[in-house]
Amino acid sequence: MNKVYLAAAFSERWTPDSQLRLSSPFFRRMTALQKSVVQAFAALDAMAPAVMTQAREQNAPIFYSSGFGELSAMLQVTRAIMDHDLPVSPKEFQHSVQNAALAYLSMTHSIRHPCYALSGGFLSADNCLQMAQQRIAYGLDSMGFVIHAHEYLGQNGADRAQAEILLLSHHAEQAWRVLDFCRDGALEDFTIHRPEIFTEDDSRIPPWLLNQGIPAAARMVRSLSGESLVTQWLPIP
Amino acid sequence: MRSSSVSITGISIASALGRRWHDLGEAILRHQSGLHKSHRYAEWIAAPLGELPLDDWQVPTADRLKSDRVMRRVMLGMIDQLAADTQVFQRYRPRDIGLFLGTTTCGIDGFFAALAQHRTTQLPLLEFLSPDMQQVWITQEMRAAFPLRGPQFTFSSSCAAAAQAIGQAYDAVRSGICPVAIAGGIDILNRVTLHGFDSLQILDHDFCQPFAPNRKGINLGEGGALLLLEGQPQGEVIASVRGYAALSEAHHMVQPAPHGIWMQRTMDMALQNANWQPDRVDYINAHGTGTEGNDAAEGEAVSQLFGNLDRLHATKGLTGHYLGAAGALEAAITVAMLKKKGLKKGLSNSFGFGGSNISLLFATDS
Repeated sequence: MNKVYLAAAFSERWTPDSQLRLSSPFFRRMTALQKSVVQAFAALDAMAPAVMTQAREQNAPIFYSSGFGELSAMLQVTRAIMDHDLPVSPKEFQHSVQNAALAYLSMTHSIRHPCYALSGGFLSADNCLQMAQQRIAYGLDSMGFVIHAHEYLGQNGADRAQAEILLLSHHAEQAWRVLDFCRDGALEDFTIHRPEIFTEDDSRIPPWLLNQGIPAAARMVRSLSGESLVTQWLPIP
Repeated sequence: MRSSSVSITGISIASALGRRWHDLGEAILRHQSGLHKSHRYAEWIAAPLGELPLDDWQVPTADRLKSDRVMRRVMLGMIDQLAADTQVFQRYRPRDIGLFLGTTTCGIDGFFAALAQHRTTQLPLLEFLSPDMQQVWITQEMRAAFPLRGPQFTFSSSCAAAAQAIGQAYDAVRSGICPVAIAGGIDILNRVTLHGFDSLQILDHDFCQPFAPNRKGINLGEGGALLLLEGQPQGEVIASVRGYAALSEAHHMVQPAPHGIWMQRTMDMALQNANWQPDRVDYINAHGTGTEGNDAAEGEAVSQLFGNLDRLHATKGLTGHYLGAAGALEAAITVAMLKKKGLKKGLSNSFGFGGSNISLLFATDS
């Protein structure tokens, strides 16, 4: 089976005070979640231009997940309905759809790649990773983006957000790590590599990115229905 | 060499036009409408809706405004039906059966519950965020109810969600990721959807008329459909999935690009992927929402690619718009029309919010 490699990765935070790096007429109206996604993508473009050009040429699909979707916009719509403050804001309703950040990403960066918004609960990020990994390993794609974003809820709704983007490839050149994956698997499958283990409790930390400094890393998440996913990153041999 | 054809060996549906796929096809041929002005949400929205007959689905009266409970009951019924028709759970090991679902409305009740608890207790809202507020909840409920342990993915890319699920399931089966997959979607009417679309001022308060010159907007509907996809079928084959193409328009949140250029490109890419010429397509199921912008753009795109609109059919005027599940219901309708009209090749479009486009190809010939 083909190996799947981590070709590039980037993490970006957005808060109301953060410097706006992206000049776009859309930026003013975006939610924190959407801003973090488009900024992380811009940062990845700047950090790894060669591999990003390759990904664009190959029309690499984008698999996107988020903690609870567009939490802030969804809560605004829900509040308006509960308080009979109707009609609801059409802008908030448009922003409440799960793929709104993908829509702004495609508009701000002129990306016409296939974009998929996935929902996986506690498994969301790993679920996206699994889909991208399987498609590359089985020869359906040669490259693929995985994006996970989450909004942090404050007293007045979501006031900051964070997005992580990984670019996976079946090419070993420029790669940092090898990705392996196991659904309903056991960490014992991977013990030979002595992985660092992250569990569900650590899932708020972007584990794929924090793993970079250690030789091997694995992360296991388990859903409430008992399903488990194990993701493992290995050094390039 | 990887196959470009995946067999459809079972179809189950949930629609105002019936619980059986054959009944749905007959109803569409008769131009029977499932839309009604009197419905369980009449207090909030006067526009007609394509509401499921919830008596037929044994949904308790007390649960009928709880969209997630309705969704769970209906999805259980659809999988039960598919399993009874195909014996999929007897023929395959649980780990071999993939589940690819599209939904946009699952989890909405949880937002209302969380907000109500937050207001009652004054505790931070964060305390009340729970897994049943996410679209994946319906997938996890089905995993708990049925022997489904293969790859599972839940798509929520607005109105393209179920079509994306079918496209990805097609890829998973033909590439060997899993030998069989249940693919489709479901969406159930709820207050967020109704008030949201009302705020966009695109609801037709009369019966909607896709592609009509005087069209005024959409009617919403609820329900869904599931297809059983097999790489090496062991029983009757209804039809096959022959390919798809997906792209993002990168144009506007709710408006298609002028002249439907990216809609045309999506359909063209799908035909190229399957090595089909446009004149070989017998039936085109339009996304056809009934809104001014979508229908104009889609009509132009189809005219440019296929030469005319003769093969274009829009069914949302009979069913209502099933949102995230529309691609699944219209896949079932496309296959039904191919079978009932003795046609060979069909194409079904789904064009979602955010410029999320996908075209699916189906065939009844070998």
